[in-house]
Amino acid sequence: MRVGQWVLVTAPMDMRAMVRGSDLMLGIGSDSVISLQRLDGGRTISDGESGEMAMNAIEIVLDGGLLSVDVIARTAHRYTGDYFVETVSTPSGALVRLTPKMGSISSHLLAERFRNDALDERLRELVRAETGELHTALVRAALHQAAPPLTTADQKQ
Amino acid sequence: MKFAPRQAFAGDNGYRLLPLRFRRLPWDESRVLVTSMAGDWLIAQREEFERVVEGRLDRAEPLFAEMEARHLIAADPSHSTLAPLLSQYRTRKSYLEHGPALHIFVVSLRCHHTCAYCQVSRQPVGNTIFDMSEATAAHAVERLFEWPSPTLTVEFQGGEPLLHFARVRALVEAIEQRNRSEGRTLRFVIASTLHDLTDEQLAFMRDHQFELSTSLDGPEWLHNANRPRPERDSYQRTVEGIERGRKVLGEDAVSALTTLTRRSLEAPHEIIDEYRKLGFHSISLRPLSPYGFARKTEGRNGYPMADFLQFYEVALDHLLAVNRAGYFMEETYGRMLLSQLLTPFSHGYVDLRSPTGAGLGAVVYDYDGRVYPSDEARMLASMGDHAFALGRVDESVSAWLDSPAMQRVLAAGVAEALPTCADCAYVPLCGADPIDHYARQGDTIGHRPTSDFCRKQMGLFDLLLQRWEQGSATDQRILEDWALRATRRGIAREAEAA
Repeated sequence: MRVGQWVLVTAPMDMRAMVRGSDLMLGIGSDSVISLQRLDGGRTISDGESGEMAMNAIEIVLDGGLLSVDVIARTAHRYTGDYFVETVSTPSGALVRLTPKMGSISSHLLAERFRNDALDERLRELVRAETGELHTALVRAALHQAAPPLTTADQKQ
Repeated sequence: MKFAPRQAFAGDNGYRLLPLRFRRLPWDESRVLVTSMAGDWLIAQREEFERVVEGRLDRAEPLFAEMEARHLIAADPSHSTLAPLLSQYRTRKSYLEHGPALHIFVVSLRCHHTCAYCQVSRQPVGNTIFDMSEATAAHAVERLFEWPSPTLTVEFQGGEPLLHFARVRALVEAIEQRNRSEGRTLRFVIASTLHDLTDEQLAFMRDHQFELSTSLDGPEWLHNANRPRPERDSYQRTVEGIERGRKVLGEDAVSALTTLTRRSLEAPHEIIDEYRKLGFHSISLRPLSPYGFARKTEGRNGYPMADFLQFYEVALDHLLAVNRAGYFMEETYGRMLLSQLLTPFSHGYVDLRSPTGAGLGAVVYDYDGRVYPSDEARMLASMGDHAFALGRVDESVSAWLDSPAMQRVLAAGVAEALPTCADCAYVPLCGADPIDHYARQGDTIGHRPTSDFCRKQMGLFDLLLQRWEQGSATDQRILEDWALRATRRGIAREAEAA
């Protein structure tokens, strides 16, 4: 009963309290949320803020000139299985904070892995931009030709 | 339908990208697997691939011709056409053309086993209220022939369907009677422990060309531990049933599959060797699913997907060794994945379809007259969750397809449109399983970074591709043979249906 109360009532209230009016929340998949924290230009993250959020957290600075918000969010989503993820936009790009959900999760070369994945997401973004419309058109053409012909009964309806 | 003008196909180097996806190879991060929308693929250096995406690939480079041949780029449109790509895509998705071919009739939930991992919440042997009634069976036969598929596989399941064999017999006779005017190709399968199989039952099965599917979990100690009976003779009865079935129906008419508990994971070699000893050339290594009693006993029998993948790797290497030694034996799920990787053809396996096979490839007629889009959906129902009940057998098929349950399945049933799957290099070869995600994560769309379905699919695709790519010529030939056998079976069934 106490556990149910916590899951259904207390935890959601706590989570709601963590979100500030300036935060942009992205829901991804079924149960993952990435918080894109908007900071005013020039403000930096204070030591206290960083330390409060995460023991053993790893912070990764990303170049906003190279990587779009969409690329960073898609990359961060891949890490939501093993880590709590926070993405903070900064004047020069973004800062991603990854906190392991369990002590047994290896964070060896985590920043390097994240950066490689972000570069892959950037390539995917280029592919999507060039092929997105064509992809839709091709699927429509392929399956349209495969559709069974209308029967006389269908045509009457 | 209008495509872009010709000039759109001529980038700086005279080509444009076609829809594609890629993945760094886990065993060599300097290279990527690149797949087309129809599932054709190649492996390239990541740096080279980056040049392709950025339009810097030169026509004179060998990679140019390779990418063009696999429909990853399109060169001069006056000399190339997208028709082969469309044709290949249609071939991959051809399972959509005829609707469900697999029809599961649950004739009784009664069973004499007390398996801790039972996924269907079986009932005691004397509890006949869990048997399918005559009226329900008659409606189910009517509905069966409302589907358009030229091939109908009718699979009898339980509980233990032999405990209500009178209903099996009546259903077969009614279906065959009706088929005299329908002219479909029929195939009957019974999923049974094969215990207490009578000569009369076997004679009936022989006359109607039944196939038998049974459960064999490995050597005697393991099988009896996983599948207990009060008499502690489950293994002995199963093996006797297999032998009697083979004698009457033929060697190839009996197949077996293994459900893996935690203790099974310690015995990959022993399980495979047992199958070989009994003369099987095929084995199915299935991880536990989170349904029925399996969920209740998860703490005792369950394990993380990573442990299953580790087991599978050892089992695969042992199977390759068995094959190298001259005895053909395949693993059925690996065979299906390899056929996806190494051939361009479609298949009927409902778990590897996108759009999903639930309701589009299979239908389940439960003992109580309820209808479900998959076996997993009825397993959830047996746990009290009827979220995916399509309706009842006395309603029309079109009412089932319009049901909120089916709409819910369809809304999450296209893998290419799901978060993370949309970008996955394996998605043209993979499937969507909204009901499994609902069962494990409480949501039909699901969360891929924590999805066991995704872990299993990615882990097995990676492993099979790595073994094929890095294996000896002999190992490559063995894995290709598995893939081609899967294709030949599909073609043979299509030919039967034609």
